[in-house]
Amino acid sequence: MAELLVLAPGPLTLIQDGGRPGYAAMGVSRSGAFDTGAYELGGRLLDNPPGAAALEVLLGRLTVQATAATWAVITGALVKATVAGRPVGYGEPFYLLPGEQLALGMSTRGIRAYVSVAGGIDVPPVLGSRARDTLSGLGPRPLAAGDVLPLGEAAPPTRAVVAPLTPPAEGTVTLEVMPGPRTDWLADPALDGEWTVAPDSNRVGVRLTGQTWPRARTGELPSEGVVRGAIQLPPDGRPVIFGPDHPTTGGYPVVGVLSDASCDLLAQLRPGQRVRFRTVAKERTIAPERTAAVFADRGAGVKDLR
Amino acid sequence: MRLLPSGERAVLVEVADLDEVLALAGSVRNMAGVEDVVPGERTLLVTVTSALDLAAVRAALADVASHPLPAAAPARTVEIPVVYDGRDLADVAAHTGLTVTQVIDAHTATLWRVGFGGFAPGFAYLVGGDARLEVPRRAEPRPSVPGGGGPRRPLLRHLPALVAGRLAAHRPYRRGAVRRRERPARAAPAWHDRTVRCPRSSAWLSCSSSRQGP
Repeated sequence: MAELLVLAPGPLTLIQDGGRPGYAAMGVSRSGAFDTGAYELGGRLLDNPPGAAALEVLLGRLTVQATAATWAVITGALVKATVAGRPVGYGEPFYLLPGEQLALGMSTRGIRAYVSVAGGIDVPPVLGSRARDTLSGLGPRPLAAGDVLPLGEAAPPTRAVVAPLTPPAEGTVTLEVMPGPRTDWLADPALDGEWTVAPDSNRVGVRLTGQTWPRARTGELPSEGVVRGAIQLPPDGRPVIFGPDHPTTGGYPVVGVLSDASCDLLAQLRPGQRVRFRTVAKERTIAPERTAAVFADRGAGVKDLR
Repeated sequence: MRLLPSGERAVLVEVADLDEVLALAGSVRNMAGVEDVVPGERTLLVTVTSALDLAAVRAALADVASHPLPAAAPARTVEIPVVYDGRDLADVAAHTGLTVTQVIDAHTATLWRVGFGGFAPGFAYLVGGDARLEVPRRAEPRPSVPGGGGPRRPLLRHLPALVAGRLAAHRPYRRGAVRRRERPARAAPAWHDRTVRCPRSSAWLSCSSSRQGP
């Protein structure tokens, strides 16, 4: 069986997959890869089955070695990487021979790189998922030097592909927000202004500093279920945006929810980076005939027709 | 019933009270397209597998609400030994104007109902109980858990039941330290709509040191 030997884990490398939906009423968040687009792309480039686990590498600096020849690919944050000293591409599958070392440098754009390996990381699942949930501590613990990770069965990729990837943005990032459910708690629902990503942000939540949003009302809200991407407004007026390991319920008003695409952007924001918000329609509506076409096509892998 | 938007793949259903929430949760859980339901005090968060299913699920929810909901099944009582040694216990006493002993007595003398689980694995929000024990939520969220400022009635609504050492490490709440002995993974599913009695116990203390840390 092919295995991946961890020589250096970097600041924080987690095993992540599509997450564990369906347990939120028990307090278990979905978790899973923070930048879902980058994670899913990595799996597709290798013809991995959907949900195959990958490595989510915070800030880079991971070094691994395979015990058997395997295909791998790096997506997400832009990192310089080498295999046995030779540079490898970004979003471009490469071959790792037994004993060769894959070494990632520091990420230069974005903060979460995904290393996908053919067959996926095959550690035992917990509640149906191999994702590490940093809030509840479920799933495989963060990688440490000396870890040996089993890989799943894999066939060679059937086609040569290079994904025309755009690395995560530098500078000010605009996040799409759908208003609700508690927008009425805001004195000004326009969400105007610019914020800075605080250093104490993580997979549970991204904290923003800068101006505060005044509340239109006082008092307390009964605790209610919250989603990934929810923008919560604590009484101090500084927004917190929930990541994949968010608490399943919260008691501060949620004044808006990021679009799924903007949640992926959120995953790559560096501390100190600036963000703005842009309000979009409350819910995207899709014409019934188009919906029917999508349903018919779903088996063929159509995921998103936004 | 009000349907409040909650992003591309969820809708927050607001109803009158917890009884309606629990009845609705039972009807909605197995609805086509529904990925998860999360009961709250007066709301039910319904998430869908695909954004494309949201409109259909919203319509189905409106339909469910137009029919009388089945009554929730009768509750069973679960007894949970707890240790009252939490960091915020004195704070809670100060808020309520009771002595620490009175807080503990009030907490153990009444039956609580498990309204819903949530926040993190093993937490249960309790309703009912002794009204003297209500305390406000913290003004600022704890830095270690962004957004997690704690429930409105931390001591009571909450059994900080996570494997104890981890919770102590996170310490997300102003809490009166009600800790569970049982492992949450096994106990949590059974908590829905159960009544809980909290007798005092010192039995947990003997194993507390072995449960510190993650």
